[in-house]
Amino acid sequence: MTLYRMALRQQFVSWLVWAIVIALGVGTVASAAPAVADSQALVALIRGLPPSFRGLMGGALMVQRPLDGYLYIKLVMYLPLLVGIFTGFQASSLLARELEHRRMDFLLGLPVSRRRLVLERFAALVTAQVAMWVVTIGSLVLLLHGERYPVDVTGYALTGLSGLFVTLVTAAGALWASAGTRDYRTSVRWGLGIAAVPFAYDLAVRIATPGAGWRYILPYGYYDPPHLLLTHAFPWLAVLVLGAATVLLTIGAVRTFERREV
Amino acid sequence: MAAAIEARGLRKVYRNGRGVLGIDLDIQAGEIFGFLGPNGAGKTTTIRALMGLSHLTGGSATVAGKDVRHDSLEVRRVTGYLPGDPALYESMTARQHLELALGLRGIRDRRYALAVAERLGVELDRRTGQLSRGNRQKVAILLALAHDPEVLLLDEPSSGLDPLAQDAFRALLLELRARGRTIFFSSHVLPEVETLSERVGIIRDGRLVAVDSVDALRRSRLKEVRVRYLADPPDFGQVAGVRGVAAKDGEVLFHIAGDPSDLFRLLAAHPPADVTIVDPSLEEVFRTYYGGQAT
Repeated sequence: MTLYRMALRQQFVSWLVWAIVIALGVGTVASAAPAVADSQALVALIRGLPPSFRGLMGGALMVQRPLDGYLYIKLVMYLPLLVGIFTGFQASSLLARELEHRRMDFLLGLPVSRRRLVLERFAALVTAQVAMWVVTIGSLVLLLHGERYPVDVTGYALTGLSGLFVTLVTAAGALWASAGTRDYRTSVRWGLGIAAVPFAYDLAVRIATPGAGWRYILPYGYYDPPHLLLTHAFPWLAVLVLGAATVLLTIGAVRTFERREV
Repeated sequence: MAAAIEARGLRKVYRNGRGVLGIDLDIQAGEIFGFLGPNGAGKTTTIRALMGLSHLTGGSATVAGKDVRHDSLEVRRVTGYLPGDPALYESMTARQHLELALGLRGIRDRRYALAVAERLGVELDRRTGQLSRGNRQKVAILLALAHDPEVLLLDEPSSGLDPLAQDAFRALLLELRARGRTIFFSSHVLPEVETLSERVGIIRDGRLVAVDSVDALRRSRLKEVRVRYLADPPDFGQVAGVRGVAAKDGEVLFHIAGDPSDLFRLLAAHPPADVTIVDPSLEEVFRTYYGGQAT
């Protein structure tokens, strides 16, 4: 686990910055939310938008109470995608940064297999993602609690869980793409490109068929968030399919890295 | 005695056609072997191939009896490796690097490593990003030596070291050899190779062009001849094997390779006032293989 701990230390600062940004973001929402909650202006505004824009902002908004809906739009809906992009960058850097800075000779000059190197570094990334999701969902729940809304921990946790698996599969895809890439910039471009795919798909679906929550299952990996929030249904499909995809992509990354020249 | 490093037709060719084009090596345990060649000749490629870091195109090699292709983890366990122009984590201290390296090797006893660090004058608790090039090189050397490996593969080890650190490093290498460790190192510093190595390999364009003891290489290749005449000297340029004839202040200086019989006959026919014949330096030997190319 030596490489795992080392990779965690390397990633600590960037993930800490992310956690702080999220906490600040949630705090900002907390300070702004009452005004939104007290008035129906936001809801009216959204109702007045063209259907395609309304879909873009989340077709199921109207089933939420104002603050819930606001958070749903601002945090729950897009956070998996934003986190996915950040994670795509991080995952694509896991190996490429070491190659770019010529540190791979130091690491592989030690009795460390390439498989172990990839897996321990990726495990550190997964750990950091889980921690980040805990921070994010925790902040959300604390905010709702502070605003004296009934706190739906389970619903948000389930939504967060499915979102976590979206970022995991994004990270594994970026890792695989970068495992065979020598140039750091190319590797990062691959990572960001892969992370942007579900984002682009989601936008397209929302614009084309606003309100069709079930269509978001594929890109997000989770069931329609309101469904989760209301029913507490465990997102088995997301966990199974995206979990399996994560494992397969990680194996692909290991094999690619084992074959390549460093 | 089994060879500590053995290569048979070791071949690693890159897409541009360069690399190592079939090398045979037999280096015994307890030997210091110097590896010479200019940039791009294949020195680093050879060392990385012996470490199992690059995938061989052909041939085979063993280090400490372990196959570099199929048992590279074991090779790396018993080998200390110093990359050429080593890169470290700038935010980590030398001590943290040491902990990482020894931790991955499963070594808990730090006494030997700390003793080596003290002898090399390594600043253990400063971030490597704050260190000078020479001090970073010391850290990299420490990391290669820290686990007291059976075999050392060192790529340009004294590069960037100040004279005092070079002395400490050479003394360490000689002690390691005395304890039966095998050292394979590439260098641009020919006097260093001459001082440390029993044998030398010279690589050119991916092929070993010479492997022999330093003394034998010097004897077999060239001798430097200085002849002083009180009158006009004969024409030494006509003698078989003589090259680089230069005359200055009544002294004729030239090199001769191969059979010196013709030279002796000429000297007998034209007796000089004084004659000196010496072995050339390794640098001069090296230049005969490279025709004056820089190392």
